[in-house]
Amino acid sequence: MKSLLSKSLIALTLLTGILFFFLPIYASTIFALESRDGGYTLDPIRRAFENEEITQSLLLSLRISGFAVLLTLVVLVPAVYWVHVVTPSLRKSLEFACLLPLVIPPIVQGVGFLYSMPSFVKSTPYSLVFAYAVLALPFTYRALDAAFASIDIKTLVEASQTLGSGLWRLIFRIIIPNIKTGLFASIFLILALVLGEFAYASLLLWDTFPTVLAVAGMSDASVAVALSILSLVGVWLILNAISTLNRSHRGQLTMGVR
Amino acid sequence: MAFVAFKQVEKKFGGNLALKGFNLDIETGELITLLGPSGCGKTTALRILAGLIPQSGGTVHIDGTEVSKLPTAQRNIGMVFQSYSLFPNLNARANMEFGLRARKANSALIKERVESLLEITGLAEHQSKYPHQLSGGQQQRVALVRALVTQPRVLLLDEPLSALDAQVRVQIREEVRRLQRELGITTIFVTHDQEEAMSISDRVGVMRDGKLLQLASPQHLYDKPDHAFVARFFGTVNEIPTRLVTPTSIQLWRSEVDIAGASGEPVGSALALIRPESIRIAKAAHGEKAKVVAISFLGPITSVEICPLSPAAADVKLPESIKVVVSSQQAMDLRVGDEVDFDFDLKSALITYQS
Repeated sequence: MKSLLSKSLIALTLLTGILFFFLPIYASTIFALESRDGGYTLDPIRRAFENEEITQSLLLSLRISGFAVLLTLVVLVPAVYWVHVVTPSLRKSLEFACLLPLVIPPIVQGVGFLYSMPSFVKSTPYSLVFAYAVLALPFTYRALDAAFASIDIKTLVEASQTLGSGLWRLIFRIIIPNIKTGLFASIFLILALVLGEFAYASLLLWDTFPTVLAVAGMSDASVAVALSILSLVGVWLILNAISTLNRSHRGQLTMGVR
Repeated sequence: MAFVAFKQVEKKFGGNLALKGFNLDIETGELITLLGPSGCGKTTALRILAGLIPQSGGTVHIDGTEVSKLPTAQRNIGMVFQSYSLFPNLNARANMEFGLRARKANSALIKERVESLLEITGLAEHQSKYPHQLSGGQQQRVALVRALVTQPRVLLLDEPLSALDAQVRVQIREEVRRLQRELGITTIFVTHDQEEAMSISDRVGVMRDGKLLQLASPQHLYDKPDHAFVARFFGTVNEIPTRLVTPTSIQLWRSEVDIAGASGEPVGSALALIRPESIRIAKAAHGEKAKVVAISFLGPITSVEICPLSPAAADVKLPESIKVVVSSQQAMDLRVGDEVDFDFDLKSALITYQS
């Protein structure tokens, strides 16, 4: 009796969860794709891609995320490497610094950003690159830190040096292949963040994909909703790609003894 | 000049001196073991020779050339580490080829060198496996081959066996010794395991507090240790409180024994360090009286602990217990609590004066 009760409770909870997450998505999809005659049409999506403003903003957001990825790779990867190999005592401090964007509200960060940036940086939408690289720090740091922690990077570096390897071979043959999972995770997380971030871009008055989407929603709701769903699906695919990657590399990246 | 030389090498970590005026000469083709408790500076010395850490003073030389300031990659050394250090993204063979590829060797040479070592070590069947598919012992053997493929001038082994279980350890240390002899490669082996040191080394350097206390063949270290620390660290030793009879001899119950080595200032009382096999025991014989307090069977031999009924000389403490080694055949007659007689079969004893 008891097990039947707990089973039905579990089923009920699951059902509620599924409804909670999928009902809005389902409703939005119906709303966006239902045509006036009662059938379904992909017309809103077509209209969205014909809209210059939307495609331009999408391209801008993709470029911004590209630069944010580049900035993260150039600055954060060496920093995480450094605290793992050279000064492990600073690891806690770096972690603390990288988690700060989680606890400081975006509005405070945005205003601080406005006041601290020189005007030649503020005057282009690419100034958002810095904001997004910082905003993504809690996630990118975690991903990279975990990747470095999963291998004995110090010994691998020393082994490669004793074998006569130079810096480039060390970086491209040893370090990058062994932290690949962390790198991909960081890249995808930044991409997902930039394609969904609204507060910063809106505050700094730049027309990125999310802000343009919000404006478009006021005039043509079904276009905005269709694009929201597309970006939701896109981000979901990206997150899936990360976890698939993690799974397929886990065996190879752990240094197990059997 | 020796093939590998440390000259007055110093290393400071913060305020700590990890190496103090460290001197060591190693001849071509020799296998030298640096032995000592953790923190004695043995790994530090090895890492300085490899160039992985800079020395604070002094110089290191390989084959007549000073290498103190050369980066690791240019020192032409091979090294096997304590922790598993195979590159996880490369299979065993690619790991072995890494050093030659870094030196831009041509593929024919790479193939020839790797395959000749695969043949000697019997690792051919594992060459396409990734590190996580290999056992700990196999990983360290691949790491050994990887270090040897470049034909380095010196092979450095930093406790490569300490993560392995006992049986594999013995197997691999014998393989290390065999390969080292076959290739004639000058090797420095670092360990804290005295049995390992004894079994494979040409010479062993015992270290303590950043200093080399004694460097000699394992046999010499065992029979004629210069320091009480060496005697204690290298093999088992009985410590018997006693008294000087003359400045060069001590009293051990009814006999007088010449002093071989002594450290510290000569005063009245002393500590005699005597190996278990230098003491004989028998029932109802002429000797000193003792009681058997413990018996442990070790296969062909048995270790017996006895407690003498009187101290070695007047006014000194009774030794806590004395370890004796007897054949297991002889041990069959012995029971804990039995009274036995013991005497000494030694030409000299190592004395350390008590201060």
